Amino acid sequence: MRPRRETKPGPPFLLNSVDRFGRQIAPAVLSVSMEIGPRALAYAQNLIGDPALAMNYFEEAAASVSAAIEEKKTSGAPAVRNVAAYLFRTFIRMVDDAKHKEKILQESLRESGEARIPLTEEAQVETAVLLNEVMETCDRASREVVVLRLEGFTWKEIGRQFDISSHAAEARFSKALDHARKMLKIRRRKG
Amino acid sequence: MRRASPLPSDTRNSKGHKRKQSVDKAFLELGRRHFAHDFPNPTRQGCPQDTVLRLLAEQPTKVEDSVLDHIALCSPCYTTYSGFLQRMKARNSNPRPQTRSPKRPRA
Repeated sequence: MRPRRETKPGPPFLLNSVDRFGRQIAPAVLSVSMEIGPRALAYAQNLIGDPALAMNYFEEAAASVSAAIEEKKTSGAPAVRNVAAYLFRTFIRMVDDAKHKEKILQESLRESGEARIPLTEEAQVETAVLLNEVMETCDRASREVVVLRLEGFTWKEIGRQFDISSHAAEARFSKALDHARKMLKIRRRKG
Repeated sequence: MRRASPLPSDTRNSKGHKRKQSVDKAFLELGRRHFAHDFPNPTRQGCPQDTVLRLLAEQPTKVEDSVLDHIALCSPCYTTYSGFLQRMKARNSNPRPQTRSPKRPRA
């Protein structure tokens, strides 16, 4: 039988008694934090990768919980029964929010990168001509769909405006552009 | 070799789907810029009132076709209309702000 591998004890879990905004962590919360800290940080590290950032969030969560407990005490509201669970949930919510914000930031950065596609003058003219054709020849609903799409509305939002499905909104947009393309071809053939 | 064009293509395939998305974005951006800048109307000839543009954004069925025709040919009106649309979009996406507080743990 293979001898069992010895596991080295991890680095000691050290927590500041104030968070990065200078808010105090109550001694009761601090002792609970020392208990659940390693487990909570393991979760956060998997999600956000950076242990220092995870620790910052954990301290923030502990300070928020301390403030909440204090507030409950002064207002006479029922006390927190399970501080460990309360703290853990607050921390997880904080990490999830941070992750969500990061995702949004990444998406917007990617989008702004894509918007920097070099646009030739010819392409600008082609687009302008096609859209003018849409506004001249298409029915009102199609024109409105095109304008809403230009203004950054999603298919779902456009669908909601017209009481149709998002697929129907997308189809209406494509149809309007196809119609305008056809009209342009006919016009160009006629010279 | 095919030249890249900002116009949305008729066909879709999974291989070029990402490229198509960025091309579509470029098309939309160009289109928005076209209507917002290419039709200056410094003397605001024939412009409807802002209340009408607001109504067009919020309740389009209550506004005549001529107003929609006008905004396609008048950049200042298009910009105003665009502002109303953005406000409406923001309002619809955030119906009511909620403050988050940790739930009480179950016993």
